[in-house]
Amino acid sequence: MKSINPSWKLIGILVPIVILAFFYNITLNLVIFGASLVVLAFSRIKWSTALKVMIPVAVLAVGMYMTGAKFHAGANIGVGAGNALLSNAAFENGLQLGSRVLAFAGFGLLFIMTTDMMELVRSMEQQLRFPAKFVYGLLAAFQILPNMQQEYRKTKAAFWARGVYPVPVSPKLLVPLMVKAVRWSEALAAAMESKGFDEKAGRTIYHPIVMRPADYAFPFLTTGLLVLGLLFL
Amino acid sequence: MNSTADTGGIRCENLTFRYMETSKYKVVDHADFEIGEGKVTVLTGPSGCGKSTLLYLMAGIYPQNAGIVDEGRVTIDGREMGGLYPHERARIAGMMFQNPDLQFCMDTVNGELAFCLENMGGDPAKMDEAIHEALAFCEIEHLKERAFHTLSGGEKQKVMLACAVLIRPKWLLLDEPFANIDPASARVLVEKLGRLHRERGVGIVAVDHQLAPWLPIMEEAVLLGEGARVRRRGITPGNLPEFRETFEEMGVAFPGQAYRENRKNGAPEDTVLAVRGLCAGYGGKEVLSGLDADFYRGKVHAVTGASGSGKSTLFSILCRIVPYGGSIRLEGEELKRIRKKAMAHRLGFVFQNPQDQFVAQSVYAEMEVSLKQAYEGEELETKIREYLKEIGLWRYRRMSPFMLSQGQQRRLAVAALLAYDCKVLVCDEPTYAQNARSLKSVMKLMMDRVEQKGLTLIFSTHDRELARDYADVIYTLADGKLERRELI
Repeated sequence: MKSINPSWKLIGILVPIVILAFFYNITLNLVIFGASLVVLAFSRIKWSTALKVMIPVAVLAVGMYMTGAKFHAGANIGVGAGNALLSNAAFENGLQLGSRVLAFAGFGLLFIMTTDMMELVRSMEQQLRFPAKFVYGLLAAFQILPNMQQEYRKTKAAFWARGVYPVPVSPKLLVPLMVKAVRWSEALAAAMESKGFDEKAGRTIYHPIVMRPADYAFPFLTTGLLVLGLLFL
Repeated sequence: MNSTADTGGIRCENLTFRYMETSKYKVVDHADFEIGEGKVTVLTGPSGCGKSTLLYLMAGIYPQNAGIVDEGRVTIDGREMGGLYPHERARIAGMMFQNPDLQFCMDTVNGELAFCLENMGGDPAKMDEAIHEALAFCEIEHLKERAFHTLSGGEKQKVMLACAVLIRPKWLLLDEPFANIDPASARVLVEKLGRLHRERGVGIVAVDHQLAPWLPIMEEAVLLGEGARVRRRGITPGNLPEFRETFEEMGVAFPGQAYRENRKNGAPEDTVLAVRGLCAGYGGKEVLSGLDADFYRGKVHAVTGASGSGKSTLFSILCRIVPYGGSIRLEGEELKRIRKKAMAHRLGFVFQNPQDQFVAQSVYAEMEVSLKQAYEGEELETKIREYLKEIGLWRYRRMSPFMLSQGQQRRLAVAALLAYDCKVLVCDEPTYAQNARSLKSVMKLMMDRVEQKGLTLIFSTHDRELARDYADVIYTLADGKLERRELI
């Protein structure tokens, strides 16, 4: 999974997600989720990170199940929450929504856990022909993200030291952060220009990403499998 | 085009520049001078005189990215920089900036160097060799595969130099490249810049508040006054002493000059802040390991050390941004256990960049936030006026703190914290982006509190003179530990 070209991997995962959005098939959803986990198990990933991502997903899946179970077709919404008996339709509707969350999460995990962001962006430039300005802007932004977090803490500490206690993510804290972000982007842009970065100039590529047949085959494989699943499950 | 003899070098002809269409303020006002081909020139002058802006104009970053040139022009070797594409400019003039954190767009050193070569349209097959050579020139081969977030400021500046070595511009323009790095790294960089100049004929123009680091290679210093107009030229390491008075009059640091006579005061009595076995680190890398130190009531403490030695970490621990192991007792109470809300009146801190510190929309409101805890009504107004007049900012009271000059911002930030009457004040790099005059006025503000109210001051600095002239106790950080030297 890790060796597949990131851009084609992205396509190979986005296409099935879009197709899947039009179908309601509980078994298929669960199979996709299970299959994603199996593939991940063979991909040498950091399970602690994957688990962290899974926590909100699990909450969302259960939440969607509850919503679906309560507001299923034919449910009398006016009746209060006291109705503990679940009809078959309610159960199925709940499972439908809950399993969809899991299926989408499976696809998402499969992509983010096996893809290096730097590689993705570089391959977007080379394979998908994204403009250089966009690609390197994105790369530069990645580099200052950790700074952002540090700056947020710093700004908060500065307010505390002055006896002002804004709530988390209050505009008071975010405004200085935005002022800085603008200044940083200007400084970064000037630095990149001073190194000759220019869209109009002919750039060469240090290590071109080599495409293999497996990379091209991946989207067809995933889409094909999904279609098979839709037909037989 | 004229003959090269006539147009070689950098020429500013009657240059006038504003940042905004709506503003009348001319940052560069009829600047008119030239720098001979391939020279090593340092532009110095008081903060806010427009010297950095002038450098950006030379590099062609302005007016392409901001501002308006009303009159005149800048040419390098006869070509107007403002009219060239970035990849053309890069071959003529490379740059190195003040903030080492904001110069790179790739994740690793190797990636960034390859990025430079890609921009210049180099042959991919020859890139590895070129990168190796550039790294060897800067003696940083060991950093090749490292990620930028693991490098110190000095190391980042060396990588920036390696970028310039790769691109091989005819000129190298530097905007206070040593502001955030330790003197040892600065010395190495100056030596490398000297070699680039001698061996490859690269012309060097640097903007700096401090001439001292440049003396080994400097051919001429130009003292700029308001509007980046030339006040004195032809300053060389040889005739420097003749200009001493002019430097002092303009508030610009003169190499080797003391900030003040160090006063001697009595032996330390009680410990306000006791640090024992302090440990901290990031991502598995230990920065501080078992650090012990005492800070005394009413005394001034300087913390020095090479960049990456943990000065900033120590500072971040004291202002509780970074968790720590071991113990720090503030007047006998463990720092971790003190409620954060109770900290304001006990331990204050001034960040390196005063812009990190402002909480209000105007200079007046900034002071009001601090003082309204102790005063109200008319008395509050009188106090605010008193404080702002003391630091010379009363006439700017309606302005946003972000619009002030660096020196003014620093004074405001310090005054706003001193208003809390805290017991301990921690100040990170008071020299950051300050010229001699504003640095002295900030130091005076703090020293007055030390003498009058027994404030305990802890400041970190790269500047040995500053430490020697103000501190009672100097701590030097190395290998995660502190070495102590008393001056009392």
